[in-house]
Amino acid sequence: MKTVEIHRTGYLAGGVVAIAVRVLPAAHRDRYSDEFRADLSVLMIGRQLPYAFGALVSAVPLRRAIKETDSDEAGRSVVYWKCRWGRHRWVVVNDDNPEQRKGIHKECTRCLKLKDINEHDPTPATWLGAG
Amino acid sequence: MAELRMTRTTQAVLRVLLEDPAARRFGLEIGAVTGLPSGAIHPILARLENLGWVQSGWEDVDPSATERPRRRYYRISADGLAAARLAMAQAHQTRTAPLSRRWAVGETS
Repeated sequence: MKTVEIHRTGYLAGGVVAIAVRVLPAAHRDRYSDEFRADLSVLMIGRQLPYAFGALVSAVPLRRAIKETDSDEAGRSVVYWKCRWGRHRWVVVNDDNPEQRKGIHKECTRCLKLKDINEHDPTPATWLGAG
Repeated sequence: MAELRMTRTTQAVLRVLLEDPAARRFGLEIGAVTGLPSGAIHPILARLENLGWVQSGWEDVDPSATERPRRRYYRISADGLAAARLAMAQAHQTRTAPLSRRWAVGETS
């Protein structure tokens, strides 16, 4: 069986990898942190820093690769700042199934958030027929 | 589903994984075999994994016993095997098509 010599990870290389991992989406940080540190552990001390900088350089493409096919992330990738501040663009929509709601409801055309029509909302809404 | 651009680096990674579809390889190992820089491997593996062509899993060891973090191993998936082979064949065809066409009409000088 092939034995692998384990090397102590240098502080600088470890730090650079930690920065690289911070660039990634939070859900994937632990995974890539372990993966990069496992790779560092088998590299000679002199080769650790080039590897770590390679990981840092690739962090943005890696983040993009993770996000472009991660449907949940893709859904959240567009940030509607006005909606975050509560400034939705409401339109009144007729419900397809009035049994579930009250015949009509409001829907934000940006973030698709739904709101019952009887909830208080001071902003004026425009009418949109769903039929 | 996302499209995969069959760049030379993607082809190099796929070639390594297709050499022995049953073999599990970790990122650094793939980098060493392909000769690609460390930063080039993981974005490609992430794309291939998200496409379902590659599956990955943690090494089955105790990190405290091995005194290093577990490795993440990659291998071509059952679904990805045919797709990857087809994509590689198409990429090869695209790369060689202009030359073969020239050969066919005798413009080899």
